[in-house]
Amino acid sequence: MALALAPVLLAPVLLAAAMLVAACSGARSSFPASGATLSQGRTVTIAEAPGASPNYIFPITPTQQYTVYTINEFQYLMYRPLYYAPKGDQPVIDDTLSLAQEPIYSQHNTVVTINMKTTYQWSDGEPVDARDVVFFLNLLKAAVKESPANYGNYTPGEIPDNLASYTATGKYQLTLTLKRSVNPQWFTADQLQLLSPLPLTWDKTSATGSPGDDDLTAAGAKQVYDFLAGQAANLATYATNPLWQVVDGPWRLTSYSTTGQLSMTANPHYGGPYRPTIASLEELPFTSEAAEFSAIRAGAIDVGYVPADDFPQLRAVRRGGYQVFAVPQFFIGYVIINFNNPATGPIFKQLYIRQALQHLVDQPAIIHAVYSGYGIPAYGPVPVGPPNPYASVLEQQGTYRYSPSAARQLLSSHGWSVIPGGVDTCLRPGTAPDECGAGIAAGTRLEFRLDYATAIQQIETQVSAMKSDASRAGIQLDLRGEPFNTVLAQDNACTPDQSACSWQLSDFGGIQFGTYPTGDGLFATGGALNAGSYHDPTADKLIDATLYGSDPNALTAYEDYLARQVPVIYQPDPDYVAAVKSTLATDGTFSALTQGNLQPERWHFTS
Amino acid sequence: MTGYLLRRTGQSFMVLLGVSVIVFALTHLLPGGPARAILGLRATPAAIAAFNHAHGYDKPLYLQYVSYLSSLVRGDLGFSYTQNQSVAALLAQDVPKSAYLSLLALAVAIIVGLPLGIAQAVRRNTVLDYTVTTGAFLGYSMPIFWLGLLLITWFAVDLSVLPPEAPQTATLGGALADPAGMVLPVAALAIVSIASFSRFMRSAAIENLAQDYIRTARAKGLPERVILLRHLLRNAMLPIITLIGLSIPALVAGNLVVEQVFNYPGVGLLFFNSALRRDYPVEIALTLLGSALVVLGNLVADLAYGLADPRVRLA
Amino acid sequence: MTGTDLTALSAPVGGEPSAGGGLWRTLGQTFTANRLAVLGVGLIVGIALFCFLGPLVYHTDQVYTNLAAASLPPSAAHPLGTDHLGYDELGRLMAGGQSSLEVGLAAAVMASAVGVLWGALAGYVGGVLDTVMMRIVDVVLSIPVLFMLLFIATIIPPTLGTMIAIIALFAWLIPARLVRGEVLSLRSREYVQAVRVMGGGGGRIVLRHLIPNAIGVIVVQATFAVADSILIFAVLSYLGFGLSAPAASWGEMLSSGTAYLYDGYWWQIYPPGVAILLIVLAFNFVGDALRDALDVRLRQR
Repeated sequence: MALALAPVLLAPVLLAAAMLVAACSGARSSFPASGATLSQGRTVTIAEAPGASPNYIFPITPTQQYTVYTINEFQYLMYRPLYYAPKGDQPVIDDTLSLAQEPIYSQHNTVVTINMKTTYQWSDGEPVDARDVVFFLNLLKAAVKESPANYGNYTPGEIPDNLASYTATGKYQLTLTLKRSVNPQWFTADQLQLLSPLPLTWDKTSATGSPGDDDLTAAGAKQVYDFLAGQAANLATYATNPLWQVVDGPWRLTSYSTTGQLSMTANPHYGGPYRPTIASLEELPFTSEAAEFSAIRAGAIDVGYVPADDFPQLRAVRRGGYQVFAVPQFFIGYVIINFNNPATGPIFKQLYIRQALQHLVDQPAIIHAVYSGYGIPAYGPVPVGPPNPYASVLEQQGTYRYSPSAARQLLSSHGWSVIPGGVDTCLRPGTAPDECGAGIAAGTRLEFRLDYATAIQQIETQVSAMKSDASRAGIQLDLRGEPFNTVLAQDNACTPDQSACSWQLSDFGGIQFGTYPTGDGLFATGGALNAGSYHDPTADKLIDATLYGSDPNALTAYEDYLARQVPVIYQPDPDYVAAVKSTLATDGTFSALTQGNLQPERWHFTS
Repeated sequence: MTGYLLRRTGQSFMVLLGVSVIVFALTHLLPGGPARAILGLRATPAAIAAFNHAHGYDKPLYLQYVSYLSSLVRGDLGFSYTQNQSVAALLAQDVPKSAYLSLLALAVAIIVGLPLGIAQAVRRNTVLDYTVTTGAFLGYSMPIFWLGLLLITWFAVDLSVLPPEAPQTATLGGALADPAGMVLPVAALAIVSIASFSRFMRSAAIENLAQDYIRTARAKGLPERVILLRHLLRNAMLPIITLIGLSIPALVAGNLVVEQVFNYPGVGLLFFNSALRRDYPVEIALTLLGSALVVLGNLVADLAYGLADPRVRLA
Repeated sequence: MTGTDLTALSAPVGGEPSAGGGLWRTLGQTFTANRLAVLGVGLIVGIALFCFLGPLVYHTDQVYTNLAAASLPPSAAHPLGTDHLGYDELGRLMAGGQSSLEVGLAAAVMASAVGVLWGALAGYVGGVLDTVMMRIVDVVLSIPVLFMLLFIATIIPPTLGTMIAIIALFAWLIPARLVRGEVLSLRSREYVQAVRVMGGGGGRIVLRHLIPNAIGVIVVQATFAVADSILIFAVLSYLGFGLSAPAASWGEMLSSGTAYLYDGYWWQIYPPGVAILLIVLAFNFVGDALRDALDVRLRQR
């Protein structure tokens, strides 16, 4: 599954700004002539996320460097993926910017035919064709065989493991044969989106070697991969190494400092839509969010963002000559529930308990206090914002909204003494509908330990509020702050007999989805991200259908079920707020910036 | 003297070796390991195993230590896996900036602190003496981060006369080109040192003023200013070097906090961020560097102390 | 010898056991004659009362958040306003003071105890053991404290107990060195020799004679250690490695106040900072005065 980890809650909403601006699909862009002339010779400056400067240039990016900043805001400018996403601020494929037509599925969705556009070429004059994608897949296979950590988006059993074969069946045609039939919606948005043609001039095993077909054997592919990965480990040469100058995107790297400061210039050979009118761009590193925000206050950068702590300052930012775009991230925040904890696991397995816990999260209050109102409540496994075709009606309505009385009602009707401000105990053990449930002894207390990542103020405020609200129904949350990495390290699937299974509830933030909000990693039995060991055969079946079924409504069935089942405690989805100088305009939408979609080729200065 | 120097240098190296053992053991014995932290949620057992193998973390600890030491001897400080560059490159980038900040603060502390101390000694028990003493007490009881926050609140937020943070720059040149940005960080770092320097100078000067040669000089009718400058300061020179040597630990720690408060991209901030990301190679290298500075400071302090006091024989 | 022995050189040297009352009376007189010392003790007592008895008089909820009342300016209901979670700032100052005092005192006591035993053992036994033990002290003393603490704090879950332990981990070194110096100088004194001749055991000599004689140095050192520990605890909390919510500490209050510097929430920046300053100042006053008092005693002898 394609997703970028959001270790820290990224930033928070102007719902109005989240309205879509339709991209002029298919058509080549044409700027107002005045914009083009005004922009001539100008450089646009863009803020990087603090401590997250792009630091890997080769598109087969290892796990530790796999961030939206490195992939979308750096590599995509130079090396275009076969299928480009997001589209504006929407988490879907952008057909206009993709290097291929929509894929054609045949043979019961086991064969995929991809027809590539013929207008793209590498800056060395070679066309971007099907062979380049084969080259990519050969190297990807070699990379993940060497180490699964060599590719940040590798999931065992998925790309490239699920391909029985891949061949260039024409200069611009690629045919993939799959090991099993897939759900086309998932396969295109989540799997094909990972493919990225690579120039054949990289097909060599040493700097002095001549490009050939080294990648065609497994051993050769490994050598080529090792050579390129080795080159990519040398940051100081990013702008000077001739390898990296061969690009098919609208931009080419002209300088790169190891601190992350970099500049790019327009690539005159770019064959796609929206050719740059701005001469060059510069990305600037910042040591902290505060530093970046100071630069905004000083008007020192053209494009940046407003950190969540500074949302109260948005008016001042606007007065300072910036346009502000706030859109929720394609993100779900949640508290993980450890279903295998020997003590509390049986309690968590009761649906009514989870429903009560969800009823006790006052999302509107959290959004107000933590994000100054810039965020949206979330009650299910698919983010409702930004506007996307995946979120169901039920998710938008919300399942278990904040209601201490509903929570109290659920608990008392299942045999608990409800003592608001105190600790509830089980009065009626047993498995009847009005009893506590299996594995819960009489006198069991409703008290849980909640571990959370300290040093992230938003999380701390959130869990503090949860603790208060939970006590309104007599559920005692015992907060325990721990270093972020400790929380992350403990969030592992475990069995009740293991000492590592002593954690009960855990909040490390949440995760950010790529383009398709699947639950295979999160909630499927044995999923890589299923830290709480959630296990439900119905959920497994529904998730499987979203990946391998043919029903286009599979995703809705899955998300509605899991919104009702509450496998984790859902938390609000904060906005990401982008700030853009008022003198800058685009023919697309600046709210794309909120989703890490950097398209400076579409910008121009208006004064 | 030479024998003494050699022996002291040897001892310093032994101490550093000891430091490396402790730091290395800590980073590797504590639970959690770097793999999970670095690979994040995607850390499947297979990925963790591959990561540990690629970085040698699957070998016995003593072997890892030996190979770490041998690359250290060759000048290889390791590779930062989160930043995708060598630790040496990171240090080359950030050490000059931190050195600039610290030396500037040290210079300010000396220029302000020492004359203050002498003035106090000369005008003992006057309003000036009491005021400075009070200030000194406040200065070294003040948490340096709070001092930094107050400076930001007053001079950057309320008065808007200085930038709220240090120069955001990749190079030393950038920091040099932005003197306004350095004012508050240097002030925060210097104020704490001024407090201790002036206290020290005050007592050293009081002791000196009672000495025979000062009395002789006064008896000869030399102007007070000449006495103070020529005799007092000169005689206090070596103790001052001792003081500077011993103030290095405080300076190193202060540097970390100040860099964090003012977002100054030096080694302190680098350490802070690396600790958050569990970037062990960077943490180990920086801790060794900090320890080396402390040990060097002790060495210098010792030598100066020995030279200054004929009663201590450097043998 | 290593350079840091300078600290030992500047420390006062202990004397023989004297006739009890007279000594303490002299000490007491010298101490009370020092107005700063009286001020220091007054501050410590005042702050302790404020933190531990204050909550009995001034009732606030320091566990449950009230997001609707977040970051309110001072008013009759909240004399010092509220913080970003809606906690009453004055009540939080009391709660935060409790943890600061507890950590400071406990870490200092723990570090002093370990340091005293370590130093006394090394000094009394001498020889190879002394060399090894003191080299260990040299090594740990060379590691920049904050680096090490920060590093450990990123790994160990922060509770009151672990905070005390990791701060004490780096505070026992100086007492160890001082006590060793004391013991070395006392070891050769006649009365120790006499006890030994009379067949007194080693442990007995250390516990009954050497340590009581070094007590002055230990107490002075421990007083400064309290101030240092409170400061270090504040720094760690400020950097985000302090206690878990909803536990309060002054450093953590400042840390969350920092986020709102531009919003002018002064009541979140000044009170906790002043509190830290005052308590550290107070312990420094007392430590200084104790040192002076001991010096006076030496001079009078």
